[in-house]
Amino acid sequence: MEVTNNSKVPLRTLRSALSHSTRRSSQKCGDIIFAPIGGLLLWASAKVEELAIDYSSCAVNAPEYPNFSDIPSRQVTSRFNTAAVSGAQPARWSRNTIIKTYGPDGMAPVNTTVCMVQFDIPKEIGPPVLFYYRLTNFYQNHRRYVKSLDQDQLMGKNRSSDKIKESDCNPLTVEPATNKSYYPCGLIANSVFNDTFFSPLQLNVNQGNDKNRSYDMTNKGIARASDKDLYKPSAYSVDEVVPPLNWRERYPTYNASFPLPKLQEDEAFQVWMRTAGLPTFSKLALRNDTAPMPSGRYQVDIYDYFPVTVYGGTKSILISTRTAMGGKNPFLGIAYVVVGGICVLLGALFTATHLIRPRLVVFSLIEQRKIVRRSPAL
Amino acid sequence: MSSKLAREAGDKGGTSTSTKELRRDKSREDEVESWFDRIVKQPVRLRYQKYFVELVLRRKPLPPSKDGRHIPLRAAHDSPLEDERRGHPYVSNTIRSSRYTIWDFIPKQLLFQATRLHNFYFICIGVPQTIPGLSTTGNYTTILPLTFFIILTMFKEAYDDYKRHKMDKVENNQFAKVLREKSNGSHDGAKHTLDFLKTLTVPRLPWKPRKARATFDEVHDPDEDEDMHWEWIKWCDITVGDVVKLKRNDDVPADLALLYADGEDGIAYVETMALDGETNLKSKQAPRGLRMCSNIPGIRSCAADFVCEDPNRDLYDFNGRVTTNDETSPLTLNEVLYRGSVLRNTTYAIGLVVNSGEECKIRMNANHHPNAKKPRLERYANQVVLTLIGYVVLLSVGVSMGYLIWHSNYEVNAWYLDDAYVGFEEIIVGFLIMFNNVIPLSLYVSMEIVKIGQMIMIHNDVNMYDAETDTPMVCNTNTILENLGQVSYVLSDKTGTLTENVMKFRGMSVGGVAFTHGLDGPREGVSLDHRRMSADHGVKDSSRDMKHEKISITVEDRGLAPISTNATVSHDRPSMQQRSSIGGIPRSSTQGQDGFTSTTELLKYISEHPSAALSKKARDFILAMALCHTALPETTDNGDIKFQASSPDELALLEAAQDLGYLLVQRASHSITLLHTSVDGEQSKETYEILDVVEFSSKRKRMSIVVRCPDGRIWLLCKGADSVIVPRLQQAALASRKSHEVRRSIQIEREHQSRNEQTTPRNSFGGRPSMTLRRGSSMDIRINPAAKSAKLDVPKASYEMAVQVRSMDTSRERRSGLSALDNSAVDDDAAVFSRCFKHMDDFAMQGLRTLLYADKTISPSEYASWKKMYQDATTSLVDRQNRIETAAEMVEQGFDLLGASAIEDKLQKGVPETIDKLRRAGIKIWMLTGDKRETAINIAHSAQICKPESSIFILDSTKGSLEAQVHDVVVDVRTGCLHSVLVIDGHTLGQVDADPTLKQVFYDLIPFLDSVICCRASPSQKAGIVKAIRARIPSALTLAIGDGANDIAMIQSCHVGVGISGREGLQAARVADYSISQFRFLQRLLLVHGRWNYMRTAKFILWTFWKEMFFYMMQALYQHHNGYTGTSLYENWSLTVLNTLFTSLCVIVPGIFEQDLKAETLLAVPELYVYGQRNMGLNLPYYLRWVVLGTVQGIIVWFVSWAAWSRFAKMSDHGLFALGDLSFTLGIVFTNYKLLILETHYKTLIVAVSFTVVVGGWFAWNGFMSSAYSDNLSPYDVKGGFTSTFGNDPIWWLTLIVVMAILTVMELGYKSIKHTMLVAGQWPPWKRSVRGVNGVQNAEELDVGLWQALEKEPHIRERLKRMSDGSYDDHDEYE
Repeated sequence: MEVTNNSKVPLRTLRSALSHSTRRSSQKCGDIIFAPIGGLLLWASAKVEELAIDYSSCAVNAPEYPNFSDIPSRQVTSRFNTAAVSGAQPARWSRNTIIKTYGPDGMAPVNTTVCMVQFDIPKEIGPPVLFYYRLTNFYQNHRRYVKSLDQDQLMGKNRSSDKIKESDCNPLTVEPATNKSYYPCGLIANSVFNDTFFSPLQLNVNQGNDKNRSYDMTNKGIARASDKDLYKPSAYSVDEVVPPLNWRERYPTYNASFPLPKLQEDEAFQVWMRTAGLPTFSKLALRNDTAPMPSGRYQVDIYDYFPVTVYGGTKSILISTRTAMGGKNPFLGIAYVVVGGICVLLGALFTATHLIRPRLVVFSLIEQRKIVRRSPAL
Repeated sequence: MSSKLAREAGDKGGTSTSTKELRRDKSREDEVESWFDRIVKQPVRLRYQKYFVELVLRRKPLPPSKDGRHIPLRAAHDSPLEDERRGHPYVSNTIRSSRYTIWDFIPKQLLFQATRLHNFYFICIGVPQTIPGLSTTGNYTTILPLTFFIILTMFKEAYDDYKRHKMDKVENNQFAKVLREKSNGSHDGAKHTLDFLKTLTVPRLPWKPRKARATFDEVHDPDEDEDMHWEWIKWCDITVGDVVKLKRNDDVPADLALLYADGEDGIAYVETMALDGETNLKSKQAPRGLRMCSNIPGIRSCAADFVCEDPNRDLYDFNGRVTTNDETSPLTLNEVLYRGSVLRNTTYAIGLVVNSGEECKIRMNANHHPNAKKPRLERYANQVVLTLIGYVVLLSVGVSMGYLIWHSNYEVNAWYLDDAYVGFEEIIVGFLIMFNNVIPLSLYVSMEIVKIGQMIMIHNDVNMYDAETDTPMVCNTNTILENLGQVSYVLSDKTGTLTENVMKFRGMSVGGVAFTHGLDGPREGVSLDHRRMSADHGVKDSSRDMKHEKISITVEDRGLAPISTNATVSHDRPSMQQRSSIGGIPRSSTQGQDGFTSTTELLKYISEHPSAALSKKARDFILAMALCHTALPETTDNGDIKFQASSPDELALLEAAQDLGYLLVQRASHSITLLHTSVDGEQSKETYEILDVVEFSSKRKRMSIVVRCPDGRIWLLCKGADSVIVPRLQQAALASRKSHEVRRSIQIEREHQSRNEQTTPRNSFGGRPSMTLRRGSSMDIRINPAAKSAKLDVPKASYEMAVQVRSMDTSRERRSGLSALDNSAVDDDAAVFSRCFKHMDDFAMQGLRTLLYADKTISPSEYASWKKMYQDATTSLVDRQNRIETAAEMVEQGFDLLGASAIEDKLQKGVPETIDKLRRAGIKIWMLTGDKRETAINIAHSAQICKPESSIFILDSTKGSLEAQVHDVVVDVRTGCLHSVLVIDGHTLGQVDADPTLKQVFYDLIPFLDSVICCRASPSQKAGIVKAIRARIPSALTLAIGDGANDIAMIQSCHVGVGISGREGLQAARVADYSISQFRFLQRLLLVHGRWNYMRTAKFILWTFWKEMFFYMMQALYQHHNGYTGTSLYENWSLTVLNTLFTSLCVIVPGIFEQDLKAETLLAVPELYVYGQRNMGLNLPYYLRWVVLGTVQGIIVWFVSWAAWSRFAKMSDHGLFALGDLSFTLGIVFTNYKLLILETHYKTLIVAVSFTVVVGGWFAWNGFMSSAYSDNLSPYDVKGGFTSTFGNDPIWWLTLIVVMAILTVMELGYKSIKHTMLVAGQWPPWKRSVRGVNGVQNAEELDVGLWQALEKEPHIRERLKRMSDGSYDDHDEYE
């Protein structure tokens, strides 16, 4: 008999066989399912072809046309599902300054930097082939910015200046001097991405005269189908409104020659108006859903208006294909594989402890006022 | 002390003091309350008093009137009587228990709601939120749910008030017959008849079940004259000064002074159940000068003037006088009928309205706004809230700083953000609004729901339903349910709580001879056996041990143990005379049956020797039992006589008197008629005229009655506690000397016995030798004081020896027999005294309640002179009670001792087991009783409050210096006791309280004592002890349990008050927070429900905070991606309904239904109760763990979904809503999954259904939003999102799944590792001392997870189950 101090409750032994078999079924299940999904995702991600070229500094760093220079390699990402092609050239760029006139009679001449970017497509890709622009460090989700539009105005309603002043368009509501509303008002519309992308031009297709061939891409069908319903021809007359400040170069004012923009047809505008949730985002600019993009060297001309370097951002073009699993996304696949791996690891661990540890464990249970403690060996 | 004394102490002292106590208690509580209460609550309370109570309820304190209200008795008054205090007519008889009228409901409620703390907080957040531009989370996310909750509360309030209104209306529109002038004859009468008929359709008040209402023909009262008649008047139209006529079973409409009653001697009987919960009828008698008021002419001719005290709430005292024709008689409780009582057994009664409406006693007593007790956990919850507020502020400031930095680094350069700068106030307020929901609005509302659910769960526990009395468990307070799981002190009443409060007369001592009663009759003494049994139960194991094992006492370290700590232990060797007297009383039922005189023998003896001294004494004693009481006989329909007694003791005594030949058949106000049946069946009636009754009071502890015997002798009978009777005996000095002698010898005897009952091995395991030593020193077996570490074998035979000695004595007495009784011995006072006291102590030893009876004959002249004085006292308006006591004191002297009665109070079923379990649960049990010390200690022994190994310390002010005694106890207790029990009586406690230093020392001792038995404690002392504990050990939670009015003060001053809805009425049960019908249900209430509710509430609070923390973590992290400008990740409407629809069930359902361990386990292993006591469910480390967990999980959700969905992907939808919805969905699904599936241990169908409904509901909500949302360019492009854009993207779903998988693997991995290590005895890894596969751990130190695993093993479950219902047998272990 053993005697224990009463300050602790006297104990008596109770044998118990505790197995720990309960919790692992779900993990086994994890082993089985997650790793294959991960593999599948990785495979799908690998199938996606992608080319991204950061042309933010084109207007500054690229040589004057017709000279081309290599684009610094860190500004080029080329992920193609093919072995390296011999004789591949690095992406190059050049810039040219022209005067582009806007308006029906060329009434608005604009000094335009044309950025010409040349790159290789090592294998035939698509269809579909999607042409995005990607901005980084651009906060479309800024608390003020993200709300800065007036839905009614876009819907074609004739919203008075007073109403616009009170609207969400704040702080870009009316022109202070004239008290005319901006059309379209608000920060989003004002800062619409105004670089112009041309369809990629395949270079040196034939050795003959007609050596370049355009791979035609369209800017129709880039916006969400439902977005068209959000824009209607405006009921404003041209003298009631003024264009947003950043539009002034191309739209000095609204008048008979410069009619109100047809926003309901401007899909690029509609894409822009769908604000991005994160400061790095890609928006679709052009697409070709029918024809594959043959391998070869291409040149894309860009009218480069949109300043990004002042706020430390970048802008890129992005040519990509797509699978059922969407675009390139290696992370998700890896995540699945890792989860599956951890499951396997834990399972192994428990099997090991299960084998090593005896199943029989003796526990003590309290017995009323008993001070007898039996030897655990019983 | 008799239960009657105790009980009436409660009635008289208890309730009247309780209000005062309560008030004082509250102020005390305020002192210890936190700054929070001081700063916020008290001003609110003050304002509440000022504006709400005074302005709204118009309850301004009125100045007292000069000398009470003067109400002349007139048949009709020309104008309404004027209230001197107000200068207006008296208040109308309308009562209003409703709080609002239809007009002031909304403003008052709005004000009230707005001043509630949490509402106030959310209004502060919600109102700025509605200002456009400030909030980024939508303008109505706070104000809408808040409005919803407030409207819900208001609706509930309105409904409650509507019910009150309806009941008020019913009550106010009842009809009573009032004397009025005739106003044009029958026309009016017909109209009123119609009115009356209408009232019959008014629904009855539910709490007043009534027999047949007045029949129609009663409408025409024959009693009328030309001008006056009895008219049916609505209750609300009755005013002070009206004369009201009541019929049998009528409710009393207002406080009435009785003018006339139709009963014998003008006595009216009323039932006052609604007032004080007492079921017995009370007799009321009209003042003598008003005999003529039986009809209208009589009333007209009577010009009496009533003077009454100002309305007050004292139910047990009424002061007034009535003057008729220069004769003034008192107006006391005896002459006044309170509103709320019902006229019974009386054809009709007439009364004068003295108090009306809200000034009636019952209304003054009605607790209009009971102050809710506060749950202990709320303190922690509030601390958590405070830390969270700090967290919110910190977070907001931090993120705002982030914005400032971002602004200067980025925003100023961003041309597209010209003029979009957000002002600092806007930013910080915006963030405060955004993060305010970390403190969930729903917490308080869900908490209410959880509490109600928990209450229903307790309520429906069939295991706490007493089928015998058909009493379920009742919850009066649902706010402090979790307190039941944290109790560390139980303060219990004895009578009716530990015992059944069914009194049986068991014995008496007359003329030095003890008689047993009811052991051979039809009421065969099962109960005695039972008691004996339960007493044995405690020592059963040990006695078996004694048989099996060698007993050894290890005496060591003598020096540490002062010998005479127990001051009452005498070292004198008992004289032979005393020893013989020890044997002369029944020790147990067996001895009683074969060794003692039963009362039947006494009856035989009386009839054989009618003139013997013993016969005379015995007859007087029986007569005293039959006469000295305040009970009423009631003849039932079948001719039996039932007694209406205010206490079961009186009932038992009367039944005993009946058994012994004196049956109380009639009690009029001035006479008692007894039916005497002699042994041979001869019957005769004797009528005793009652001259005076000096009633019982807690101060007097005795009652006296003066009767004129049929032979003309004036006879004063008195019964009471020995402490008050002995000094009043003719030979007081002799008596008290004898009393002390006897007590000393008794103690020696008891020491001897307890020593033998002691399980000696127990002494050794605590290393606590002093007790044994002390006992030894006072016993025959002397231990050499020099012997240190002496090991002695106590002969097993010693117990048997003692028994033999006793039985020898017994047989000697038996041989002497009754017939051989020397009559001279009866006359020998000394012998009679010592025997009688010996008997009394012995009765007490058996747990019987004893009363002493004394008598004296008064000469007529002496009586006349005293009577005059007494008359003056009783009619005195000032200081009446004191004067009555002084007058009574004059006559209550020089008594002759009649004898002692012993009444058994049976221990309730399961009490020892319950107490043992509670003790194992770490609860200290204190017994506070009005009974005498010996009875108390004995009950304590049989109830297991004192265990055999307990050291019992007795503090007795009569035994020398208290200081020394207390000091000794302190030294002894501090040096370490196995189990220390302190016994103190009320008187001593009073002395302790009076001495500040002593008080300090004494109360400092409290935490070290295992049990305290406080005997002869007054109600206020009981409450005082509670307060002392609360003041000394603020962390300890106290629970008071009691059944009578004398426990009310104690119950109200405790953290948790439990009432036993027993036979003593419902007073305690009504004011208590919980009422149960049996003491043994306490173990289930505390160990099972208390723990469960504590655990549930703790988890509810933790989980609520966790989920908010978790949820807003993603929101906070998102801020980094929007320049800290405050754009919300979540969509407004979803956010608005988040807490209401999608994350409420996951905390409410476990909050109501969770059971971490089965009831059987908790009952079998009460040690698990420390979980709540030590606050293991909600403490800082635990809370921080959950905070960290929530943060980490929030980070995981955010970064994985951000990376998988946007950073490394080309989303089909790059909008904010797709991303936000992903986080939101993860938040909701994981919250529900974790809380309902992973955390909830007790998975029922309800849990599964809740999970399915919420998660399914969330996706349905998404679908609904996707189609119902208007299409626009808001950042949250909800329209079509879930149904077509991101909802069709497999990446979105795969991201969802992988995040869930990561979190689940994390959770399960942790759990599995913990479980494996637990099973292996390696958990927690940082606590190496207690682990070990074969090491012994205390049950409470085992992890809950282990117990849960143990429960799953079938054979252990089986064993636990058997242990829980007490059928566990040790022998199982040895097989």
